Amino acid sequence: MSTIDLRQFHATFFAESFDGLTSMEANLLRLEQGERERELLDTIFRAIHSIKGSSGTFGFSEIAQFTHILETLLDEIRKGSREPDSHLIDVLLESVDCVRHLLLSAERETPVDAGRITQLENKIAALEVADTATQPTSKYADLASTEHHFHIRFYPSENFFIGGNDPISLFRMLETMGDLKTQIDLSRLPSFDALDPERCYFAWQLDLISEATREQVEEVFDWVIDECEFSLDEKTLAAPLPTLVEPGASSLHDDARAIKDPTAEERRQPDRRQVERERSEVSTTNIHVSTGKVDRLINMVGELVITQSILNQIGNHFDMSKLPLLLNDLAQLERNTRELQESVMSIRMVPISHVFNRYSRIVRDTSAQLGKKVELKISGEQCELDRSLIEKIVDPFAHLIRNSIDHGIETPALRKQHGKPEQGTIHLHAEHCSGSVVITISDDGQGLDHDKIRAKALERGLLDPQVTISNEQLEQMIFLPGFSTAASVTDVSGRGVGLDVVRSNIQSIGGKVDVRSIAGGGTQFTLRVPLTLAILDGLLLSVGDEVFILPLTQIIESLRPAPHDIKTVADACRVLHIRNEYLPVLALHQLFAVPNAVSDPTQGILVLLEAEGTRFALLVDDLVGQQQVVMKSLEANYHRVEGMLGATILGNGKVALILDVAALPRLIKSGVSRHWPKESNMEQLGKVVLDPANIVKQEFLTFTLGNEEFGLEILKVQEIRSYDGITKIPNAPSFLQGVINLRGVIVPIVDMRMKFNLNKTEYNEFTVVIVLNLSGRTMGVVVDTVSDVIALSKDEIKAAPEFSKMFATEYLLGLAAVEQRMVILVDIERLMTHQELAALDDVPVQTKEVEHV
Amino acid sequence: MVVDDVASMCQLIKAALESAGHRVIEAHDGDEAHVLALTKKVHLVITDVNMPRINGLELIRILRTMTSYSHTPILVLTNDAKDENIEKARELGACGWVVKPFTPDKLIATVNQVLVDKYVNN
Repeated sequence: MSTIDLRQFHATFFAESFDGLTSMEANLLRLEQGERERELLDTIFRAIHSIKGSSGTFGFSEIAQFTHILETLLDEIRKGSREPDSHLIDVLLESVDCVRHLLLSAERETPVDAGRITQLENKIAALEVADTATQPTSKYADLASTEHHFHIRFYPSENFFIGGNDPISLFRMLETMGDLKTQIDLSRLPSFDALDPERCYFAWQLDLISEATREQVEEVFDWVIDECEFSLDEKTLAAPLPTLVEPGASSLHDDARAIKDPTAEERRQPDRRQVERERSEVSTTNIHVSTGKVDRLINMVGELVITQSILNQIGNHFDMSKLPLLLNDLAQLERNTRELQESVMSIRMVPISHVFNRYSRIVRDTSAQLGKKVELKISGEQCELDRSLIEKIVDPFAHLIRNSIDHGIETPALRKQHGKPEQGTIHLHAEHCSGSVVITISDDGQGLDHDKIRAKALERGLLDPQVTISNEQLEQMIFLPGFSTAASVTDVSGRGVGLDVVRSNIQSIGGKVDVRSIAGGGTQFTLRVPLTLAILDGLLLSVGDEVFILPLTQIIESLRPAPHDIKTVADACRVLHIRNEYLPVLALHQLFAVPNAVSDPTQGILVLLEAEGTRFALLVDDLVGQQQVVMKSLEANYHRVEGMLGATILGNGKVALILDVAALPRLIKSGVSRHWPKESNMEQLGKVVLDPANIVKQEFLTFTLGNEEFGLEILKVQEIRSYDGITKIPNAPSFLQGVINLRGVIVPIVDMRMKFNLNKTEYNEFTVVIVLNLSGRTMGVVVDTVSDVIALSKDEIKAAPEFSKMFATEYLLGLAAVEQRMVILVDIERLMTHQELAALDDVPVQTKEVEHV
Repeated sequence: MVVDDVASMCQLIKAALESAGHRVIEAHDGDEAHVLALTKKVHLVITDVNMPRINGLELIRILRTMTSYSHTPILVLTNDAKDENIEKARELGACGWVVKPFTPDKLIATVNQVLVDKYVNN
């Protein structure tokens, strides 16, 4: 007997089924455009056919049942007995969503929205009825009359299980054939002590209403017929299935169904957002790799192995005469490694058509919903992009497209009035451009309304009425947080998410978003995203003893200025005069407080950068070199650091931080003015940069306890780890939770809640331990969550009022307002070395261990 | 040889038959099966009917024109026991069919029966 675990195939099944649905969806949309190739219909049919066939086998009977209905419908279209009109395609597209829902539910083992399925099944049944009504002799009518009612008595022998048989799988099979009702007969069940778990005591009476023939039903029991009592009564139903009524009586039918099934009456639409979420959740967890790419990889690994064995040979009998040989082979090794790296990276590259094709559905649904006519044009979709990036741009893109349809494209009537064709066009285009992929979304709608933006910006206080700014700058303002010009918040794009979210999402992957607009002529969004997240071409810079990396693609040029190129404005601000432009000079060492760095631009190097339309010069000590670096995320073990894209490991094993060019000017502005467009003046910006009070900032790690947010100096923090592996210590003071092992060092853990006289809470997966280094002594504090790192200048820290019973003010550094939150800044050093904590020293275990530190 | 454009099916059939001691090669469409058939001789072919480009019926026709496959037993996989393709496949020379959904045990039993009929009883 085989013991195949079907679950091992589930991942493949889900992946291929989702792929099938995606292609089915795309092909349905082509069908709607009027294409009628045979192959198109075949492909659509095959997608559902395959899902049906496999889902039954892998035990997903619900999916098999539903896809069976779809298959029948599609087969009729394929055979030409039904015309795919737009209503039918609507139903089919909804069915695609539904199958996707079923698949996702099966994959995650979450409950199925049965109402949604039933509703759709009814819709499909209604199609059939409408059909029967108009053509009483249609194929379905014939089929309906061939429905049989089978009554099956199935009494397995007691040895049924021993033969490896499973009654449930038989029922599942029957279920796929039609409507099955089972009744279990427990009369043979003995008392509990006489029960033998290996024996089968149950018996069943089954009622099956199916189009299948007697032979087909019997075939299900073919393999167990010797091990059971089996009888089959059959009668052809005089009337068709209860869900089908006589031709012409469709109104009656509707009533009957409405009573039977309240969900149909409610006409409950499946939640649009859920459907869309499910659509995007089916992400590309699996990638299809061409066998060609895999073969190439295998070849390269082969070469690598050969090179390695040659090097071994040389190494085993080395003398200086072999040096040229060694160098030659090392060069070969370098070549192999590089090629291998390129190949591996190429596996992660997928054509952007994966993303683009998803949008035809969004365009179709959104424009229908808004009563607009929109055509989607796609070009350059063969451009390849890293898989992880593809996933990250899907949502921002959908947002921009919806935005274009909602705010950009006018209603057909209005378009006609303006002498434009009634149908608007949205054009998606992708192309490679020096290490990035540039994607544009252009529409031929009304363009951005500058007056509206200005009015909105003034209203929101984002713009100073005294300042005149260019239209280009105005257009940039739509990306600001809290900015939305939608006159009414529509269901489509007014989702509480603005373009600022789009921009920050794109920026988080190192990309840029830009907008250009012609009044009455349309809007174009341009997105520039790096080809890949994992590897970037970097320029290594030295500042003091530190090495930083700049993404090469964002550098305009670098130069060592002559003294007369540097002007000092308003005593402190330095600007670089280059080609009739004055660019503010930002000194990296001041920005990050790096000691021993070059502060005179004429002694260092200025790197010219551009970010968000602002150009500036970055002062560094020296350029170290150019290198491909593998980007590692800081978030994985630490958290996102403003101004940094991530980190990388250099050849010497040191970690170097990769600068986020776009964030650098923001980093400076954020401390000064949140309304930066008011300060469009470069000299202002320069002054800001050089005002030491703004640059010398103290960073605080914020954490929460209950509803309060606290901050402690980040320099005191050694690391942050999850709360686990704590050993309790007997007779310890109550605030001492216990001790943990931190890489061989025993570290005492204090509960901050206890310290602040707050109620104890349950520790959960967000509970963290902040490991602190206080005057050479390591200790951990338990907090609810760690939330953020904030940078505060001296004047942003306000003295704490005498307010707290929670703990004395002497342990506070002060209060700070960060956005709308208040953060209580704690003097952790004083708090933790307070005399009660001296009690820790009396706990024998860790005094000893701590001395080792 | 198992021929199915649905990868999960191919994997399942391969695993099931291998667990019963058979050696299995996979092909993912009619073309691939045809190419494999040119270089390898097998004792049994299991093919899906509904496949892109060369479908299962077409494949049976091609195999039957090859000397080394003129008498190899062929089973077809179908979703539906009353599929008209079963009859077509029989006319082209298939010796039986397996209806999806099937259990691995049923598949193994069918395969074993076909193999015994062909190579032992004959």
